[in-house]
Amino acid sequence: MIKISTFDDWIDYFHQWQKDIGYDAALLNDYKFETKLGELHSPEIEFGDFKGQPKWQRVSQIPNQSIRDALMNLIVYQGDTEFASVEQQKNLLDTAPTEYDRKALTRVNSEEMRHGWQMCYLLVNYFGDSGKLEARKLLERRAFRGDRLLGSFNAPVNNWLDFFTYTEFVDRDGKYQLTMLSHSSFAPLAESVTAMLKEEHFHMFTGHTGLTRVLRAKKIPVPIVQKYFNKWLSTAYDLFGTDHSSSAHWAYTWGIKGRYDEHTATLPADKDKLNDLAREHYMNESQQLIDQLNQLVPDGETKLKAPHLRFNRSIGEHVGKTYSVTGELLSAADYQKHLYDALPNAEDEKILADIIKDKDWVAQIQLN
Amino acid sequence: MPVTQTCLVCQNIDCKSRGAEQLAAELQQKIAAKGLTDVDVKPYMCFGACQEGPNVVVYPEKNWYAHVKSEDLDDIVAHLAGGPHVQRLDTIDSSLKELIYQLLDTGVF
Repeated sequence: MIKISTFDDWIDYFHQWQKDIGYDAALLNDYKFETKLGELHSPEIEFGDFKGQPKWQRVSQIPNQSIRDALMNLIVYQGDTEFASVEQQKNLLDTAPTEYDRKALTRVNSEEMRHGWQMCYLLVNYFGDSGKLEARKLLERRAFRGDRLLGSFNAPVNNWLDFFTYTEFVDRDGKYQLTMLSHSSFAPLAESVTAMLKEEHFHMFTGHTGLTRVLRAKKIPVPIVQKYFNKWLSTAYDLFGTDHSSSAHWAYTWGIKGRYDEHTATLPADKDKLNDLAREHYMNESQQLIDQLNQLVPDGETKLKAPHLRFNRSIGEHVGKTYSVTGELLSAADYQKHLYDALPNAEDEKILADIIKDKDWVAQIQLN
Repeated sequence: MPVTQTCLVCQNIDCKSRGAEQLAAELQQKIAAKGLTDVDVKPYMCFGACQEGPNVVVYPEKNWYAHVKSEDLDDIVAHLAGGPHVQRLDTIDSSLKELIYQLLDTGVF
C-alpha cells in the first residue's frame, strides 16, 4: 500500500490516479497544477463562538479535536466531489459536439482536478497523518464503482445533455458550498476556496450556455430535457445535507462554515435550518435560470420546471418516500412507474443517442 | 453613425446581485452624454467569471473589465472615446478571455 509522507508523494499518486481512470494527461497541454490562495473576507473569525478572534492559520491553533475533525471532514467531502466529477465526465471528451465544447470540457476537468489538488494540499500539509491518509483515499474511491461520498457524484454522466445539466445544477451546488466555506475560520481553507470559486463559474457558464444551445437547436424534445433536470436537480438538493442538521449547526457555531449570504446577512443565523436555507437560496437561483431557459421553449409546449423538493430524495425527511416530481404522494406501484417516466430511462437514452449522432442537436460553435 | 463598439454588460444572477442592471443604465447615459453615437450598450447572459463581476466586455475591440463599479464608468467611457485602456479593471486570466472571445466571435451568443 502506498504511503503519502509529503505532498510530492501525493502528486506522484495523483498522476497515477489520472492513469488509472484513463485520463489522457496530454489533453491538458501545458495546464499547470498548483495551489492558489485568494483573499480572506476578513482576517478575523466572522461568526460563531470564536467571532472576532484571528482566523486560525494552523491546525494547532484550533481549540479542540472535535472542530479539527469536523473541519477535515468538510475538506475531504469537498475534495471527493472534485475528483469524482472528472471520473464522471472523462468519457465525453471523444463525443464533444464541437471543438469549443471539447476545450470547455477540458478546462472544466483540469480545474476540477486542481480543486481536488488544492484540498489535498490542505490535508497533507496541515492535518498530519490522518490528513495524508484521507488525501490518499480521495484518489482511491471511484465514481464508477459508486463509492464516492455523495450520491450525485456516483450518478452516471452518459452524454452531453447530462454534462450540460450537471454543470448547470450540480456545479452550482459547488458554488454554494465554496461560498459558505470562503467564510471559514480556518484561513488556509477560506483562502483556497476563494481562488476555487473564481474558476467554478466557468463550469456553470458551460452548463447554462450548453442548455441554451440545446433549446435553440430544437432537436432534443423538451420533455427529455425535463427528465435530465429531474435527475440532476433532485440529487443536487441532497448535496445541501439533511434538514435540521446538527453538523451544520456545529460547523456554524465553530465558525468553520458560514451561510451562503454571510457577507450580507443582517439577521442572526437560524443554526437549526442552515442547510435548508442554503437549499432555498439554491432553488431560487435555479428557478431564475430555468425561467431564462423557458424563454426558448416554444409557446404551446410544456415549460421546463424544477422537480419538487420532495421528489427522489436520498437523504433528509423525504428519503424513501414516494413523492412525485410535482410533490404528490403516490402508491408504491405508481411511484415505480412514475420514476420510469420522470427520470431518463433506457428508451430516452436511445432516442437521445439517435439525435446526438448528428451534430445539429446543439447550436454549433465554430472556432476561427 | 453605425455602431462600431458594443459594451456587453453581464446580466446573469451574480453580476445582477452586484448592481449590473443599474450599471448598464448608467453606462448608457454616460455614453450618450459624451456623444458617442457609435457605441452601444447591451445586456449579456454571462461571461463565466461571476466571482469577478460585474463584468463588462467591449466588443469587437475585446477589452474585458471586471469588478466594475459606478465610479469606474467615467474611465471606461473615456476609453471608449479614445482614451487609455483601464488597466486596473483588466483582471481576468488570459485563457478565459480567449475562450469567451472565441465564443463571441462565433456570433452564437
